[in-house]
Amino acid sequence: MGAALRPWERRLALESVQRWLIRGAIGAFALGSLVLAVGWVTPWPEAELRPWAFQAALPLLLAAVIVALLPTRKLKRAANLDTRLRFGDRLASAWVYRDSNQSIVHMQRADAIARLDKRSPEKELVWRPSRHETGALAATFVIAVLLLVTPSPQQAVLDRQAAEQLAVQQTSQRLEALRQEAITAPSLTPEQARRLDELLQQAQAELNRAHTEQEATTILARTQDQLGQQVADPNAALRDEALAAMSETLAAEPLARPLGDALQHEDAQATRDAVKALSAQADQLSDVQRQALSRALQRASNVGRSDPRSAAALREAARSIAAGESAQSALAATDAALREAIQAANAQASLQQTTQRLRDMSAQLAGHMPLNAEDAAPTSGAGVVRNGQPNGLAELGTPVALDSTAIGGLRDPSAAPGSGAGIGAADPAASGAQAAAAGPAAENVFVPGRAGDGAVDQSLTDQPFTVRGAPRPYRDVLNQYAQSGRDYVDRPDVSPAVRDLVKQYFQKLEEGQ
Amino acid sequence: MADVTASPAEVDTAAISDFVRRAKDIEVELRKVIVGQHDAVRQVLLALFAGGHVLLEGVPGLGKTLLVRTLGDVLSLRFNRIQFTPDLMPADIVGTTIVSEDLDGRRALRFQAGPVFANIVLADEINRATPKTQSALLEAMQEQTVSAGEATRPLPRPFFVMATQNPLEMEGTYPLPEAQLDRFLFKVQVPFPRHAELEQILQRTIRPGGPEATPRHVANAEDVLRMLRVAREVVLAPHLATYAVRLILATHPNESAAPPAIRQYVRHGASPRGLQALVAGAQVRALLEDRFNVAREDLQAVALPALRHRLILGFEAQADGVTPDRLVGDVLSSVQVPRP
Repeated sequence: MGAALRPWERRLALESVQRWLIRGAIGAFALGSLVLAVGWVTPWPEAELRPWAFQAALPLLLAAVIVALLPTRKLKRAANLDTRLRFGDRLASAWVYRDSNQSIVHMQRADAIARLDKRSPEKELVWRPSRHETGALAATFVIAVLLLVTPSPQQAVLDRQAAEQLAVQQTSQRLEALRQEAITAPSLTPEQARRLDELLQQAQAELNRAHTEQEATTILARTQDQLGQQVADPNAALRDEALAAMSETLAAEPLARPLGDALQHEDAQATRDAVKALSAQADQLSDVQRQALSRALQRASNVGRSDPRSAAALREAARSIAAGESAQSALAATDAALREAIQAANAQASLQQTTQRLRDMSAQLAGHMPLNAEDAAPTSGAGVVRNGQPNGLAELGTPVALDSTAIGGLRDPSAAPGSGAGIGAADPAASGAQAAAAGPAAENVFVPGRAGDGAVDQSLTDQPFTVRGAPRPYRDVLNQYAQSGRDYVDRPDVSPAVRDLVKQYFQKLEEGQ
Repeated sequence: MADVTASPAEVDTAAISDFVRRAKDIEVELRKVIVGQHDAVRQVLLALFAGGHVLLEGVPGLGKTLLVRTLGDVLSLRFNRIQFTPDLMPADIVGTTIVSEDLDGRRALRFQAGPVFANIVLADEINRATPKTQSALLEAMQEQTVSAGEATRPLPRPFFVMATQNPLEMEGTYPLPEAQLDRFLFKVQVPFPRHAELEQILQRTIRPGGPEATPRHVANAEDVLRMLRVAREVVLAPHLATYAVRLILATHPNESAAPPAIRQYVRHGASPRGLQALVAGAQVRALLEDRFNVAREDLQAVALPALRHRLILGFEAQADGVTPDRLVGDVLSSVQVPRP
């Protein structure tokens, strides 16, 4: 009986493998499609899902093969053959009673074997997958292929996320560059440099963990706040006002004008030189000159009382000079106080610059980088001139020419004639100001500005690269501006036309440098 | 097959072969006389060789009596017909003791055997007799003996009762109780002939010079008894025995395997006798199908005649017009053959 069944069993085993392979393939395609479909409903990168889909599908296929190769009982196979061959349970009955010696069992067994011998496994057991199986296989295959080759509707979200991630990463790199630059600023005290370093390092670490622009913007905003609260000098505004008032007052007296100019420039060395010169001249002055100088120093002391130490030193110097005493020590104390104030002001300016650059990073990150004239001005650091009137707070001119009539576009400096073109406007009447309120084009002129008569509708926060009292040649900052501009226009949401325009603009600037 | 014929049990093998040959011959001879009614003829033969009795149900004139008479002729068996009427008494069936006088004038009590003393008994319109008379026949069917007076007399072997009842005329009848119905191995429905069969019947019986069918004798009582023994030997695989048991259990409304219709309409399912009838009928059918083992098809084929009269339906079934045949069909549809 066993020998008679053997070729049929082999055929059944082959069929089983084929059947389970198809079922396994259906399951594998279905499972793989399911995994791939995750990328269609959630922003999951398809590149990550594909290996997972393969890893999920392959075991299913292998499991199907294993199931197919699992041994089955002989009786079960005989019953299966009975059904397939329509043998009326002959084979199963014969197998069950294979050890019986009853006559009818002998006859039954012989009958079953004889009937089996008349048939051929190859002809009788022709297996084809059912229509359901074929349909399911085709359907799952098509779905899997479609999911593989068709871009996911979530791709836009993924691209946006990648762009955000890239932007955050670039911001982190810029923050690192800013940190390196900021902590080496000579004007900062070691304590300020240490705290600034800690803050920026902490911000960078948080940025490295951030995934979205919103998170990064929040981190930068918090860092700005912390910078203002923990590192910046709370009396900086009063001290700056005092220095400005003192410089103006001193500049009005011819003998003290060098000192006034030095204070106006917040130039510590020039201040020292001016005080030394005063000290050298003090003993040789006439009484009238001494009284005039003393009054000037006294006035400066009065207007600069917001900076008590400098005011006290100036008052003592004024007293000494008025009394005809030796003013050496008093002027030395004045020199020390003024230089300390200048140092503090420079440190504050450096911190403000750092804060402003953080703000710029936030703006770039949030996609708010303006391209029109009014909004671009703070980024460029150029004083905005409105209706030919210089903006009163512009302190540092740059060759960035912004046509006030051409809102929304940057223009080539060389093609930007007319009033208000890109010159940081200061009060033309201000002493020492090299204001070029009007010109044929943006010139390579640096104008340390002061508050003028222009409409003051622009706050310091809108002048990212404007540092009060710390003029810097545009050559020093051009690369930074150019890089910022390029970084901004490289964003996917900036049109190619604007991108090319901005890049050409900076390229021409750099070529003309 | 050659080594099988050379097996030590050669006599039994011959008996088996003889069964198959004779059974087929009997069926052929019956079909010579009976026009159509293939299922009825087959089921009657199944019941005969399974050793059971048959309740034939059909309207008058469908050939029920002819079938029984022809069977008696083919088998060379003694055949008696009893027309059941309301005034029929048990003694009219089983016989009675009478006073007889011999040639010497001596008188003695002598048992006069009734018509039940035959190999094949046709109990025509059995539901017209009183329950007392019905039970006399049914006792004879069950016990294969007749008790009259103080003596118990065995009935001739083989003993085969075919009872008929008319499903239409129910007035003045005494329907058989369920317990007595259970004693019939099969309940066979005799359907009305089809158009072609009616024409053939007309040709045989009405038109002059039509072909006359005369069955030949194929077997005798000894042959039938031997065939009864052979039929019992047919192989039944365990998984098919389980299938038969499941079929019976599925007719019981309280069983979990029962289909919804059974739960709704059946009060009591088939008895163990039903299971025996199912398997015994399937065994004979297997042989008639040139098989020496019972197949699931055999069980399914005999399920209807074996079970239809064993389902006791509730009032709801009668109200909804649900027939036992439909319920047996539901059982067959719901019960799967167990995997070996």
